Amino acid sequence: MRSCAKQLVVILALLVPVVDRAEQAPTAPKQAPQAKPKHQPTGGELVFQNNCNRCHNAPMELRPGITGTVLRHMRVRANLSARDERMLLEYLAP
Amino acid sequence: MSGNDVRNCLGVAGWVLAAGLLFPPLCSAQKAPYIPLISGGAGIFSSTNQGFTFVQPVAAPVLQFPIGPHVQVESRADLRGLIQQSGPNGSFEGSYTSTLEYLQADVIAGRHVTAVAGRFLTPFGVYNERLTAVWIRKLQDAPIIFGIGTRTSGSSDGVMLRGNILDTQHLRLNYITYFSARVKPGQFEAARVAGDRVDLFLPAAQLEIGTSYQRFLQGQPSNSIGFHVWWTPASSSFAVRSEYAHGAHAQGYWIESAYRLARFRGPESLVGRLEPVFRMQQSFRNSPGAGDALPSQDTQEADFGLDYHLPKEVRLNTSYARSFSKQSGNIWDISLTYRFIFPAWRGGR
Repeated sequence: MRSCAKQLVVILALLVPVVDRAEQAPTAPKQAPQAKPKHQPTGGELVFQNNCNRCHNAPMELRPGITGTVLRHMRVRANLSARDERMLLEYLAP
Repeated sequence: MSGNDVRNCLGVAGWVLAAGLLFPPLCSAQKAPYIPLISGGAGIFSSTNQGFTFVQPVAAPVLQFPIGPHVQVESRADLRGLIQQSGPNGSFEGSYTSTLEYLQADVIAGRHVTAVAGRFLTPFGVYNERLTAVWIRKLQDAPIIFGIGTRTSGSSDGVMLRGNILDTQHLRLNYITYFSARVKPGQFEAARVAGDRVDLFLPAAQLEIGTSYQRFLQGQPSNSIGFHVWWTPASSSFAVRSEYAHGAHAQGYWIESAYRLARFRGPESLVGRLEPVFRMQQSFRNSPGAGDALPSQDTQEADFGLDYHLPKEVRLNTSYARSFSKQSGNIWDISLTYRFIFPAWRGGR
């Protein structure tokens, strides 16, 4: 009887660390929600954002035939370079 | 206007135009067609100022004629009616005025220089050049310090050089320098002035800082200086614009913020078309200055505006302003504007 009790105590003592470790086992990391990549304007859109947006929004409808003329006016008014004008033309009248 | 001034202006304009037509192309050839166009805005403006109401129908046509890849001629006029009450309970009377705001020849002479000759908007500060167009400004009334640097008509008759000195990924440095001859009151009224403006724009911060200087050369010569700071963050529809100006007899500032509610269900939604606007401004009178178009006494004014962007380039502007001075009062403005733009003749794609 005494030997059975001793055996039982030993078995229980061995089980405690196992149970403890099981409770402390880290859970699988939660998958972080995929963040939407922030849209970074480039090219003509960036030129528009840096220059034109300061004063006004683009006309909602800009016919391709007159875009060049409009940009000529804006090039003078906003001190744009030839490169800016070219990029804006591609952006507004692709 | 003296005969020498007229001859000088016309002579410079002629030389600039001739130089532009004969100048060899420096930048790569533009393939886009350059069709003359007619644009601008039209609208009706109503204002009630301390009990007196007046209504102004306005048309502001802009004509633009490109000539070759480096030259263009452009012009803007302001055609305005004025309907106002003769007294608190009086009848309404009408009158009409027309103003030629600019008629200029632009010659893109190089990467860093554009030459302008003729009549142009006086580039002191930034409000006159950028925000006076009736389809652009968010509040109907100009700032109370608008008269500093823009005497006598807001336009100059002469020559101007402008362009960018530095254009990198991290900053843009622009400059303007100009001279105007004196022209007597009429369609080409202008003052004899000389001045310049320098702007620094930081793309990363979307921040623009600039300074203006002008020497008034007729009558009693005087200096005017100005500073402006504009912040238009790219990530939102919020914008803050401000200017300070110091003239011969007065100084002042204005600061304006606007925020279009496009974040709420997009710019085409009912809420997204709304744009609250607020402007705070002050003027300080240092000495008497008759005819400088500034308040005769220290004035504070707060403007609360609410704009609504309707479809098809139509906009409704409403605002309430409270003016604090020895004659405090309420100003109620409402206006409806339409912006138009189309080729000058059929055949444009």
